[in-house]
Amino acid sequence: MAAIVRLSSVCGRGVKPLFYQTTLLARPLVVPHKYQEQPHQLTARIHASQALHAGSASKAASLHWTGERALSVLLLALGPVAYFHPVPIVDYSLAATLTLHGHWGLGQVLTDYVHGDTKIKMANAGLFLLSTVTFAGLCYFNYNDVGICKAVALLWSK
Amino acid sequence: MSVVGLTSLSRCGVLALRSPAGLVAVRCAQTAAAPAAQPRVKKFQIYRWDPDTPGDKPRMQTYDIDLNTCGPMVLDALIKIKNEMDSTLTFRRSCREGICGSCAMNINGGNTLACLNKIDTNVGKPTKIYPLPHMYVVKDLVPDMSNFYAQYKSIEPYLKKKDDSNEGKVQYLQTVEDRQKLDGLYECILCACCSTSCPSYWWNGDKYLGPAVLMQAYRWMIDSRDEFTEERLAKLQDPFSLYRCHTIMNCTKSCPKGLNPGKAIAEIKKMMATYKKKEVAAV
Amino acid sequence: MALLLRTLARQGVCLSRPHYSVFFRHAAPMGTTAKEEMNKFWARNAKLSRPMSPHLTIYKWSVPMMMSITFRGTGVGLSGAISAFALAALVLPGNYPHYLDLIHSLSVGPYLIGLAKIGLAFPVSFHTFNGIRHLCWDLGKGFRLPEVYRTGYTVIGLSIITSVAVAFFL
Repeated sequence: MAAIVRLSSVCGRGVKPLFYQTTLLARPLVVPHKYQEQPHQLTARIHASQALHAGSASKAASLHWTGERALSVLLLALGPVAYFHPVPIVDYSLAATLTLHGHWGLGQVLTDYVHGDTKIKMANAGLFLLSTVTFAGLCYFNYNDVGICKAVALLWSK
Repeated sequence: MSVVGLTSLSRCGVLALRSPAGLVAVRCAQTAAAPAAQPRVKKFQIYRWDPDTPGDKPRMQTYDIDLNTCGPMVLDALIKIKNEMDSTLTFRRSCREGICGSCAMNINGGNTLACLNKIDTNVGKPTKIYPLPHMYVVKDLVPDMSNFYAQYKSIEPYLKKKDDSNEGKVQYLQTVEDRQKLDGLYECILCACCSTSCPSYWWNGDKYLGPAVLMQAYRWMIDSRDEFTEERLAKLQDPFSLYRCHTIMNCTKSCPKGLNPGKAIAEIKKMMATYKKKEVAAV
Repeated sequence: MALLLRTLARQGVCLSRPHYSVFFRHAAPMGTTAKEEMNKFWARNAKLSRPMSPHLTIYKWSVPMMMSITFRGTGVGLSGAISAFALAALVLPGNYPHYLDLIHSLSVGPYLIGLAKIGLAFPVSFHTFNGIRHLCWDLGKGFRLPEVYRTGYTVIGLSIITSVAVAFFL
């Protein structure tokens, strides 16, 4: 503090102290006391990149993650059920679960490897189309043909 | 015979009242100059690229090192090459004891610290040295780490209290159990071996934070003294920052400090699934 | 900074007076945000056209790494097969038993049929068992490196045994 006072008096005589040549990363901020609380906000500006309001952020990402795991468990459970009870309700549940599990899995693959806004939009549209056709096809097969469980049984009997 | 034995004794400076000539001869051999050992020449194939040579393409350059005149670690070999053979070889290094993280590079296909990686003494196989994978190369083995550091900055790796008017007045106390939760997390030296070993970080390094930064995010989430856990979790609510991790587990395998970023990320995912959104406090 | 001091000096301001404070700690920030630094990184490296250090071509493959990409491969493959089946169901005339008889009539021999069954069963069993391993990881279990290898070998072993058993004994 005293050094700065001395320097300012030196300045008055037109002498350029070495102090002026030092490059400081942070300028000392000279403010009256009543503005004391502002520096906190000034330094906070650097670090507040996103709004840190927990309430406004949706939990979509974590809910999707949980949904993926729950569906996987469901599909695992459907396996033995399909083996022991090859009935139409299981056929349709299998169609839905398999399609959605595949849709979400391929979605992760696309997010990983496809970059660029238009390419991502097109890939996701294509995936949606594929999954819709897959579900439609499986339901059609369940309704008009032998059904998924019977089909697997028949395939394995040869 | 005894005269010879006495001369040998005086030459070695050993005063023995009663020792067989054979033993004296052995002791002489130990103190006299060792016979010239066969040089064990090991090949080092090192990635080179010079930004100041226009049109230069990345290439591999081979150096031959006699392991008998070199320290045991890969960093010793690199320094020997730079000192004695090719002073243009460029790499980062500092502490030489595995604590600063500067010398992180890809050695024989795995990311480690050169100062902790023992040279494989099998001279039949060359040692291959590359910079950390999928990073922009500044020169030779030096990658541009700025994105990695910016990602670390983005997770706000410091203690945050809701009310910091009491800052500096008293210590923030922590139980022994709470302090133990930080073990295995605080020791990270931010060498980036793990993040640059992760294929997801290779393909999505712009938006995926990577194991090193995520493990530090977890370190602050579970610090009992920090009061912004929920906000830290909320910041990861997008498809990329956290959820590009598919548990490939290259990170834990490569960590030169023996830490487990894969596990830390799994714990974050669990917290993300189970935390309850608090009411937004009046600012 | 220089201008500030010179101005103050000319005005005869004494900085030691109590109602002024020099906050060196809470200084006016001249740093950058993380986002700014990231943008500067991408701009700088694009401009300098620096090479990218090699990755897939030089990184040492390990069993967990190979199992992970195989898990993805079997997933994509099985999804593709199911979609192809569904598309065929919609497009092709005739019903399923008709096409099964067609395959039967090819009379390829028992071992080739067995091989084909393993070819179908292995991706399903590997994806299923590794999927269970992934679900254990999601619960936080089995993350120590020896455990990763142990569970990995278990999955491989179970997959082979199951696919052979299903192919030849069902």
